Amino acid sequence: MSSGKIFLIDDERTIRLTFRLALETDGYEVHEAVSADEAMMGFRAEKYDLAVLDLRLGEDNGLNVLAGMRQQGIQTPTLMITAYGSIRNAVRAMQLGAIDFLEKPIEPATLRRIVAEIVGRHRPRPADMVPGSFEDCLREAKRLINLQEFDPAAEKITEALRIDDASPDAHNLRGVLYEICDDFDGARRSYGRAIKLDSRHKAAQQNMRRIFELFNFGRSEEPLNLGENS
Amino acid sequence: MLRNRILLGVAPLIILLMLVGGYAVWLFVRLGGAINTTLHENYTSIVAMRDLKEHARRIDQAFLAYHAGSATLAQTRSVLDEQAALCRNNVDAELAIITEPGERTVASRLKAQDEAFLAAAGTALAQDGNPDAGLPSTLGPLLDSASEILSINERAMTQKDHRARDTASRSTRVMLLAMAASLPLGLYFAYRLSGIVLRPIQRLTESARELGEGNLDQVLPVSSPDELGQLADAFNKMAGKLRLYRQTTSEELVHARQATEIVFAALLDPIVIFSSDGEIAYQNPASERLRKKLAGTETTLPVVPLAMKVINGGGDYLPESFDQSICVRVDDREKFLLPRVIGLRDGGAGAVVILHDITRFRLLDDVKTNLVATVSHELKTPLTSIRMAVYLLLEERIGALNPKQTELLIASRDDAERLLDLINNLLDLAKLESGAAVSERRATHPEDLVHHAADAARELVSTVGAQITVQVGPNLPPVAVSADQLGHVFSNLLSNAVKHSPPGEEIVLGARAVDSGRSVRFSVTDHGPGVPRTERERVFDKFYRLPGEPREGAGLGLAICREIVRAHEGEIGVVPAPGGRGSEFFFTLPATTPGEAPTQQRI
Repeated sequence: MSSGKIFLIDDERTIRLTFRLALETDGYEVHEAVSADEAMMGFRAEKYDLAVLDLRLGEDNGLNVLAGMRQQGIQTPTLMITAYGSIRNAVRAMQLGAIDFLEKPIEPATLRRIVAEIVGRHRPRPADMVPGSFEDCLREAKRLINLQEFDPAAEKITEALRIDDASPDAHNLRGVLYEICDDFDGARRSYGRAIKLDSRHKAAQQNMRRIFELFNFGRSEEPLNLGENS
Repeated sequence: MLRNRILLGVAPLIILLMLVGGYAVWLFVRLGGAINTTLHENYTSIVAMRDLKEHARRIDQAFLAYHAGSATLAQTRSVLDEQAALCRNNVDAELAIITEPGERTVASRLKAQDEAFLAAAGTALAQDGNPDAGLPSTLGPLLDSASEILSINERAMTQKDHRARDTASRSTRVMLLAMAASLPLGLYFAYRLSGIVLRPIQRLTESARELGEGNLDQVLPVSSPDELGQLADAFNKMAGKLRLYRQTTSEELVHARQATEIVFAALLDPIVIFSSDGEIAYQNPASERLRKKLAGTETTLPVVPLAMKVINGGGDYLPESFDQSICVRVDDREKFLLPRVIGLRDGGAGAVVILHDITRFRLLDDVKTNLVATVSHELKTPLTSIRMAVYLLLEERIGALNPKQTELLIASRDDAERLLDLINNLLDLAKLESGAAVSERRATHPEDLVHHAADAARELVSTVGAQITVQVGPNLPPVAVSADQLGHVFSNLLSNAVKHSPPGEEIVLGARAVDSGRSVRFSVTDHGPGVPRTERERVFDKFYRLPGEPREGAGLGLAICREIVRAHEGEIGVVPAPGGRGSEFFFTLPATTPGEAPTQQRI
């Protein structure tokens, strides 16, 4: 049973209900907001371990909420909930430190797993994790990206790759960082590397497709994917 | 009639000719007649007189001979008889042809003298040849008279000769005079004649020339009902017809022009026609409006360079994609114009620029894309809640379920999954059909594709107790594919094969080069019931299910496969499996040229 305080921002009552139940059964304390204004008030009133933010928020856009949070110095790690077509450019969210995306429809297990992972990466290192290990480096890198500290994050990824150069997940994450820094060639190379290492790496394939669509259309409906196992 | 005219014109000449000719004939006849009759008579007289003198002398000589004793009396008698008759004949002949004045008197005297001579001769013979019976005295006057008649006639002949010569010379003079007179007359008539015939022809020629130069208002006077008149009439009719024709053609042209202008004016797409030197020859009101609106802004339409390229022989500019449209801001709104430039006579005579306003198409495109997104979101959001709720209940973390409740929830979960599959497939199909699904294509070895597909499906295949066999032919050329999408095709075909295969049967996944190495044919063969011949085309249709097939999927899988294969320029189909049991789903992909860079394709 994990614990933590989660801020659920969604305008759909049923989504809020089911998500809250899924997370509460896992021991989290869940607060809700139905609009951007309510969300901003919530962030000012309380400190959360994680924000679960739907990109479609009635008339408003989840991306604006994220930008508003960062503007006010609220560095709460954020999980973006998307549906096909709800995102035109995932890079903007990534640059705001949100690198975790879930595309609807979502099962409770998946939601719990990713929430636990994000909350966990902002907690003190678990006892079974060796400092400086490959897993630790990746975890640190993601945490630093969440905090928009991209340069130290890049160092962590380099460190991870030094340990295991054959990890598609690490190359995929490096691609994400390249994208955040607007280096699309670098991102392309890294995602390509990940696909080469594992031709069925869904996350890298999806990221590559987004790059490709952005490059050809200037927009993409593909959210960011950090991979199932990360 | 022209013939009458010509005849009339020639008539004076003919009359002239007849007059002169008639006169000449009259002269010939007169001269010839005089010679024939008068001269002949004169000549007969002369001959008669000469003969008479001869015969008279013979008689005289006969007597002289008798006297001389060189002839008998009998001989003399016979000579006398013979010659006397001849003498009388000649005198009678002279008497019959008295022509000259005074001749008759002499002739009558001659008759008497002849009779006297012959009587004297007769007497002399009767007196036994008395030479003095008066022969010499009668002979003399006879010969004299004969000579007189002779000279009369000779004189007459000479006179007539003179007269004939006079007449001849006079005739010659008259003829010369007539000729001299008829020459100017003839010329004058010929001139008049040519005038009559040629003047209308000349007028016609001039009119025809003017007609040729475009002056259709030519009317020739129809002065006569002859051939020339008819010609003039025909000419006038022709000119009239031409006038009418020109009028109708120009009316039609005006009509066509008006219609074109109305159509151009009614068109909302700006149209500009450039002349060959790049100047604007015409623009429709839509173009004028656009130019006016752009005049104040910094926006310029790059149509002139496009037009000049076409005018300089660059070929028509016909864009194929909306991406080639020009974006301008008009009235604070974005307007997308797709320029099309078509050369007039290969650009030599200018170019037409049509700015096709595709703003609405782009909006529709956006609406369509948004519609898919909206529908997807609107369907997926409640579905997310439903699935979430069902999964949470089935976890039994918030409360225990009795078996009936569990059963119901499992049914709900299965249908929620089906619904999700359906939405995802519809979304995929919409993306594929609209061409919005884009994927990167890489040259891939078919063997890799097949092995990946087999690996991915192995688990599924083993769950139903079937087994999968890979059969790869030799010398397979690489194919340019989106691995993602091809994987989707394979998994669809393989899951279909698994669905229809009896347990324990073999599913064959094959690839071989066909079309002399220009394509690769992939196939998935099962040993199921097969597809009836009549259904083979339709199995690839949307929402199609084989008769009697359980309603498990939405019937979109094969439709998606077909869209993907078509986007890869391939073909998909189904045939009975070799051996006749089951079916073989196949698709072909064109081989990519070795070394070709990965291509980006809309699929």
